[in-house]
Amino acid sequence: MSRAALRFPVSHHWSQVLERAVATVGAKVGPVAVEGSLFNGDEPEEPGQWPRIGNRFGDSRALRVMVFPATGVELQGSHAVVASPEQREGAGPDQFKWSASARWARPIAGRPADALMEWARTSELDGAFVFSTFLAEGQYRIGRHRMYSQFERTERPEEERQLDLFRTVRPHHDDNLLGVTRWTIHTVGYGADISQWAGVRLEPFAELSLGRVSRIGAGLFDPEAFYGRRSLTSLSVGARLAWASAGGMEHRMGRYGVVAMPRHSGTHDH
Amino acid sequence: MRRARTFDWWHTGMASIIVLVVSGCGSNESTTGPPPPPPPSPPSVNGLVVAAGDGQVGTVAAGLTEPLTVRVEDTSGQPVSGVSVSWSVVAGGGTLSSVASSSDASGLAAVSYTMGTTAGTQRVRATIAGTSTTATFTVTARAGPPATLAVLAGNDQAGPTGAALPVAYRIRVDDQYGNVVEGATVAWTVVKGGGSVAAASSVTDAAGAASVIHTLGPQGGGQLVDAAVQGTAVSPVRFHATARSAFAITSGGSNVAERFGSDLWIHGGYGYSGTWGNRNGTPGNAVKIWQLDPSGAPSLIDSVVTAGISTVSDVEVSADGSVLMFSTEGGPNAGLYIYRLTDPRSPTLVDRALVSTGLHTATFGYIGGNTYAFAAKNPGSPALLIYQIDATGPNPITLVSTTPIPPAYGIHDTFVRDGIAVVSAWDTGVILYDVGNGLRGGTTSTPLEISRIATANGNSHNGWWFHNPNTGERRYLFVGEEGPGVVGGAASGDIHVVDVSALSAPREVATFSVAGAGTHNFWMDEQAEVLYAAYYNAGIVAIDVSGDLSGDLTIREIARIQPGGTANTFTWGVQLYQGSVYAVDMLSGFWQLSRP
Repeated sequence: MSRAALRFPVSHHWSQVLERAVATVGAKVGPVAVEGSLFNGDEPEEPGQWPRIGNRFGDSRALRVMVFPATGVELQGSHAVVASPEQREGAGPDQFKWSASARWARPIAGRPADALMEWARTSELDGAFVFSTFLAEGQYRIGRHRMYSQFERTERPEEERQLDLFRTVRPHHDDNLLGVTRWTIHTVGYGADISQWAGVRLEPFAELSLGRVSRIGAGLFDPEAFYGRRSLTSLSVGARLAWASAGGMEHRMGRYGVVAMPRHSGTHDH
Repeated sequence: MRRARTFDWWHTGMASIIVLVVSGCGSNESTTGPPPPPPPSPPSVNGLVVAAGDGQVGTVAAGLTEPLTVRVEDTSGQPVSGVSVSWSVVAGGGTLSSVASSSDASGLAAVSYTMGTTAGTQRVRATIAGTSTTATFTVTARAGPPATLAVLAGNDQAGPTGAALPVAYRIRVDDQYGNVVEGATVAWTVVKGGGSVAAASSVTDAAGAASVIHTLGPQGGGQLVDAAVQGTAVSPVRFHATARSAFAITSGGSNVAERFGSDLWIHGGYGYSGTWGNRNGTPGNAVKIWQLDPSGAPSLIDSVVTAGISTVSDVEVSADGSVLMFSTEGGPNAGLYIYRLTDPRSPTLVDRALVSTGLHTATFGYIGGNTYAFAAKNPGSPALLIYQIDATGPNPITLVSTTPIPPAYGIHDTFVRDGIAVVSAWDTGVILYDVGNGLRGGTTSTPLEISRIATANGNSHNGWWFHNPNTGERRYLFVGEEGPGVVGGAASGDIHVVDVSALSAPREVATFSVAGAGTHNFWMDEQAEVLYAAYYNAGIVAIDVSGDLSGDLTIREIARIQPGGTANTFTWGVQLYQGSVYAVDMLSGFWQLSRP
């Protein structure tokens, strides 16, 4: 999975693909496509853990509607009911999810550009916990030069930690939420495609992120105590490698559906 | 005396017909002899007069002392004998000794009347048979002796200690047929709480009602007043009120700053409290040891720190004070720990049983002369693990049995009493197991389910089976519901009261709730009939559980305190010990409070 920026979203559902067994059917009529999916709600608790296909496949479902009003423009809305994602046996609370996104990918002044806005909301325990997230990103290329920006605001549950503070208790005990934090991060970056050898492209880049984390409501979790401070500043310098045949450097989040989408020059789905 | 209207035409007509028939026969038998003499003329009845028994006053369902008597008269006012009089009850539903009687030589006809069961006016009508000539008796039925008492108003109020309740206790006295009894003397007696009543007795009014004002006594909790009808064996009725009071902080607090607190147990002048999670990088891997001074004030004297865990989730000292047991979670060394308390200041590790993902709670149970630990794996399966504990033997911890609790999120807590394990199993509900009671033949090796109940909202978290030493009842099981919350911030969940007087058919009968807060662990002052609930963000709540429990018990809150203040309170556990209430707050430490 790849995005324009190196910094991956805090909302983990926008930065990784959960291993699930999914069956999807879809149909496209004119500019409208509809997809429905059945899958297992359990999330993996560790790398390499297989879905519980045998006894949980089909306990969760999703419906997605997409509209393509113009070339390079797509709108999407979805709703999903995910059964017990945090308790593999299926006894945990269900989650109700909504999402909406708008994608734009068309040349500007003959140069490739794209932008994406995404919003999502998860509710569980009859609305006792509701988490929302918003992300907007875009990039523009002028010759070898690529400029990009990303903004994210994500509400995140802070859960009971294990002895390793970067691991949470899975499955959790009773109430395991220590608090809710909101992460607001701005990222800008610049990259230059400096070479291409045998189909491999190299793009050195520099990326700056400024962010802050704040508490929402009460709870034991104090981000300042846990992370040492409430704000973050990150400067990343590196180089991207890409196979030119895969479409170049215009990385973007992919789709997981079955309806064939119009492809645009210079994009690369993951 | 009343005189009824008379109608002579019918008798006159009958006489004419008889004369005609006789004339015909005479014609047919003219050859057999002289015609017989004409029959005597029938009496000429003119009226029916109430002669005696009218206006009597009696008691419902009792016979009147004087018969109801009418006199049949002719047109000249002379008595007419041999006239049939029919009797009927017009109002009041009483019974007559006969529905018909004949007038005697004095023209009198009489019946006996037994009053109906409804107090008030009753009427009986006498009618000359075959006519519409009537006479009516009116009598009055008074209520019978007091038979029942009913509460009209004032029960289950609450008010501050020492204050008069706003609504008077009001009762009604009825006889056995439901008629209100006027003039009965009702005695009012303070049974519990040390309060007073405005009058030792009062007399029922025309509505059968009597009332009195109750001034609450000085002790917080349930206060009782009995109302009884003097001079009768009528069962008294009991009025209940909750006297509100307040906790007071005696000592403690802000004494576990480096860790979050969890459970506690106090025995023999020493307290032991657990720690939870991770606070500023410090895991909750310690059991704090507290020494109580003569006033009960705790002083931290030591800690038992266990490597490889991040939470001590449950703590208990055995009834004989010899063993400290605690359950742990959150690390490779999670499980059950047993320490010997030869020196209560310095526990000695005896044994441990490691369990993957740890144990969330562990409760001592004493069955058949043995000591057991009922441990809960939360979540996970098998959820209930029963260990035999013998701290002085070669195998201090021996796994006796495991019990799955499907469908599984596991269980949270177990309460063991009378050979019955009360397992709180989240949305599965509360499950009662026979582990030595004999009801089902279960044992600790083979627990057998007696019954289960899913209380409202699910999330069954903990329980306390109340054995009331004052009444001998073992009727109520208090079930804590742990709903969604943010640890240290928000909490939800009520206390559900389950009637287990029939263990095989438990039923939920009452609920207690605190708005915006959620309950956690319990302790009971069974003698005082007070439930103490650690209530997370609401602190500690004392609840009056005396008497009958039904419906919404919110009014029964005696007192509440957030020992660490509004923003620094999230109370995990509570215990009553030697007159003080001790509590561990996750945020603000170990507290000693006065009872409300």
